[in-house]
Amino acid sequence: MPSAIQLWLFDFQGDKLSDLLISIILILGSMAFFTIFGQRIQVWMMLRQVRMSVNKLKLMRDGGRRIAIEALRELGGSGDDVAERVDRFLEHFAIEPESMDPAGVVWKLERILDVREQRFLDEVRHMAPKAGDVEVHNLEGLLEAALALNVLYKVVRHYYLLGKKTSSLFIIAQLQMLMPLIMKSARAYADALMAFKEGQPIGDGIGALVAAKLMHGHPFKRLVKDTIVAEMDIDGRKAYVVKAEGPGAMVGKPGDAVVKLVEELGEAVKAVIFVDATLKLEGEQTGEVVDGIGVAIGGPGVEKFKVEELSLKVKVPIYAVLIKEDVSEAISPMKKELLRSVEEAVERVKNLVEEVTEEGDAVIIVGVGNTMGIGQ
Amino acid sequence: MAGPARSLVGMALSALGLILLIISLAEALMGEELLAFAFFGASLVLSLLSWALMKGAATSAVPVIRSFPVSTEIVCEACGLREVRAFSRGDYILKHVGKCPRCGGERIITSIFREEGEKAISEESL
Repeated sequence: MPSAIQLWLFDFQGDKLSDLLISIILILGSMAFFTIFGQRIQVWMMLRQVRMSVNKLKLMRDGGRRIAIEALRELGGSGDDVAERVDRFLEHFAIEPESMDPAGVVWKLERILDVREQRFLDEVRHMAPKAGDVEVHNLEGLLEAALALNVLYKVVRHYYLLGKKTSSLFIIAQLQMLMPLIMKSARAYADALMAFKEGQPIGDGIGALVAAKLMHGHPFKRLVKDTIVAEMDIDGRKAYVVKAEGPGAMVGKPGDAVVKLVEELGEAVKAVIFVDATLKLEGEQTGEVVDGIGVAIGGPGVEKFKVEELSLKVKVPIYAVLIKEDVSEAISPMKKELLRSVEEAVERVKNLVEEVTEEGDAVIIVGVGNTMGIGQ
Repeated sequence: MAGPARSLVGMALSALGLILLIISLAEALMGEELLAFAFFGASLVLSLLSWALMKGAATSAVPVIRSFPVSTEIVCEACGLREVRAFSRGDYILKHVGKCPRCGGERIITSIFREEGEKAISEESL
């Protein structure tokens, strides 16, 4: 007796049966195809996406190089020599100190960073002999941004080629997943290029701007390298306002400045207040002013370490007033909504001084950040 | 072709492709298989064209290097007369920029900011 399936198959005669067989073959064939080649297709599509980003990074890197060469030529750089030197500059790297025995590694790192900065400034002075001090610092910032773009491009290209060579889904998938964040950083550096070329204030300078507004009209003096201090009265308290010396692209040495002031003033210092930009989370408002505790100094951590060490010795409380901004806003020309928060931050600092100190006390206020395009 | 124009043409081609796809389905249901295949093929070609155009538009929409329109605000410290002009190299916040034309007081740059809401202009068009 024929089974149900045999009866069902017998219903298909001639063309109908061949159609069914073709359909089955097609379905099984496509299943086999996607089982065998599915991952390769996925890898191919991911590689295609990454390749597009690598090409864009290359354009950004080339754009940075071109703008740097143009800027240096405008300030006296001559001929092919500038292009050659810029190319060499873009490949520059600093070797981090060995941290197997971490004691004292901060001071070694500081030394390396100081030498690196001095080397860069000397190189810029050599490439652009007509540049003044402010322009030299701005050009150094421009070259740093171009260098960062070059590093991003090379690292992404390295993993792209490695993934291609090994056809490893996992290398390529990791790279593809990270690409939006990498491209966001690259976009920020690319936007910074023209700002550094023109010497326009950038979002990171918001802390320095708050300090500048506080010290405006008061006499100031240089305290430590690239860093100034102005003494003033805030509600009967003696306030020492510190910032990097503008308007060149400088961040100064806020840690050294605080250490020196505390050593000079001794126990009279009842509080140290840092004003700085902080990265906002997605969904948060740009220019929001928030309070915090601790040393608000970004970067490699050397300056932060100095103040933290000091606070252990002298037990001075450290406060922070932070202004929120996105990474792309931090190194591109300052937005209007960030500027609007300056007055609020100044008021917040004054209120904080009133809350945490008493009349006759000394307080140190540090405006942290790149002071490009900001005077005092 | 500029980015927005490419997007517009791409969207029009997409819409046309969709219409052809619907016609192809209708023809197939009516038993006109050859006509249905022809419409389906045309719809596929239009969709591919649209995809290629829109992809180009998306990549050309954001320039690689952007330069933003930046303004400088100058205020007279004595009478508060305010002037906003385009940023020029050498400007910096709290820079003294001469006497006020109204009261003769000292004028300073109070802010330098990037205009909000305005589209970034490409380096090439500067």
